[in-house]
Amino acid sequence: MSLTTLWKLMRNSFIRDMEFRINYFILIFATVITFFMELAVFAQIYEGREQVGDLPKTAALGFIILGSLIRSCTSLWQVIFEFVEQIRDGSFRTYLLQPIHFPSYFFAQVTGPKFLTWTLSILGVLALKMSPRFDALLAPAHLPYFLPALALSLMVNWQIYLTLVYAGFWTEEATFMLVAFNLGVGIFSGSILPLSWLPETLQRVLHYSPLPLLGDFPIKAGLGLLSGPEFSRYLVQAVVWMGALAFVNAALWRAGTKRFEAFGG
Amino acid sequence: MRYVLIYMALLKNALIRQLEFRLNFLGSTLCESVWISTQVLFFHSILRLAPTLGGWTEGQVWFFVSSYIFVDALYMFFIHENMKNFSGLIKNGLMDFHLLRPASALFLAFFRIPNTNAVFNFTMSLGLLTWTLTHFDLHMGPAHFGLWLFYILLGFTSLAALCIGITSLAFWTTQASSLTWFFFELYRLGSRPQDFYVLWLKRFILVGFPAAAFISVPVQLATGRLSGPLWLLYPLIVCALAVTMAAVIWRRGVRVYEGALS
Repeated sequence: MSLTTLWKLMRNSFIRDMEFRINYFILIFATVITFFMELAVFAQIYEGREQVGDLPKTAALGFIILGSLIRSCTSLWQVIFEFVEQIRDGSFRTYLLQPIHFPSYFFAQVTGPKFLTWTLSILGVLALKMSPRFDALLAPAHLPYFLPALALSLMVNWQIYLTLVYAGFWTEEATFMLVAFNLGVGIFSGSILPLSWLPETLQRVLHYSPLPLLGDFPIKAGLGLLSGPEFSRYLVQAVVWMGALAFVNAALWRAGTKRFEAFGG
Repeated sequence: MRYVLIYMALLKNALIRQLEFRLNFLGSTLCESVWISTQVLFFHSILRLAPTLGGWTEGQVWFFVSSYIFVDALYMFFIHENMKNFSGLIKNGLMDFHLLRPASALFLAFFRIPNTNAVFNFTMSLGLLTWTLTHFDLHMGPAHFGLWLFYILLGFTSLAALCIGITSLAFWTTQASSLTWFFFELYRLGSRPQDFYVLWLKRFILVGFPAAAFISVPVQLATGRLSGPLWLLYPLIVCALAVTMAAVIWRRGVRVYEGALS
């Protein structure tokens, strides 16, 4: 698929999403509320302490902001449910007839509506950077680490969502997997609380999963809290997970479309 | 009594309908268990690092968390599904049927679909509550527990009334999903004790949108963190105002509703 087609699809999905503009205001409101709720808890935890786990007090504010922004920029609800619903009711067949490979279509559909969220997030960070209290947040020296970490995190995130959508070929209840994933991903990825604050056993288990790549990796990279070897380890993990998920998704797509049946005109 | 019987019939219907799709039922329960696990994990992780939070002891925090899950289970059981479906009633004109039936239209619109999955949340909250009361000495006798139950139910009534009031704005806006989301975000503010918040936010959840009256104040009254006639009266005043507001919005809404069925 050419870049022009991809751009057109993204623009279309953005325009469609803009029909419900009020949702953006509520999303901003939700992000602000989440920020204050987390700030409230963090303020209590850091009372009289300079460092908790591997997060110093100076980086705590940055952690809350980056965590909230990354969650609102990556979480997908409506568009994902629509895909699962389309598999369920058979209208998914249109993707099989169109001369566009579904993963590219999926990519355009999930990124298009996020344009505004990303733009607002960038503007928000730039505004906050005017205050010295936010020096630790995305310092220029950390950007070369943050940007690739964020890009890899987004790609792993989309691959996971794609796997969950493909599960819809086998079970009508794939939406529950999506809801469960969306409910759990915040805390298990380390974007609500630093991963080092979770119980040790859980941390060990989570490091075998791709979840820390969705929160812990870009947030710590953005705050300059990853050492060279840690960053490299996450980088390798991200590439391996992306490859593995891409392979699984290709297999799921082939098997899923073979068993998919739709009737009617 | 008549409404209790109607509700029992609605409950039986809802249970039969939900059990027809067992996998769906299990899926919803899975989602609820993930949500509860994240709440418990969140507070467990924090309390490992800081045994007291904003003057709240570990036991008091767990008592708050179990109360929050308890109120949320009530909300999920009685209101949530109906709230989600309410704008559909207005858009499709199905509200006409509720207005014609020989029972309160408000009752039918907001309590028609009990969410039986929430029984799981309810059980979990009671389990957590029992664990909290047996593991921590909260100095709570039967009278304190009675006080907690009374105020927590009052808190839930305020929550339900505010929810009905805000959702009823769909009589004017037709589309209510954004309103539902907006309400839910405000409600989330009540998921932390008001002592944790900065002063202006603390004032907001006490007076502006009284989310503190749902869980935080009842828990503090029961554990003795708050006392005095003003605090004892506060949840009653909030409840009375919320019920009045919901009733006024509902009545005016029904008056402007024109029906959509041909």
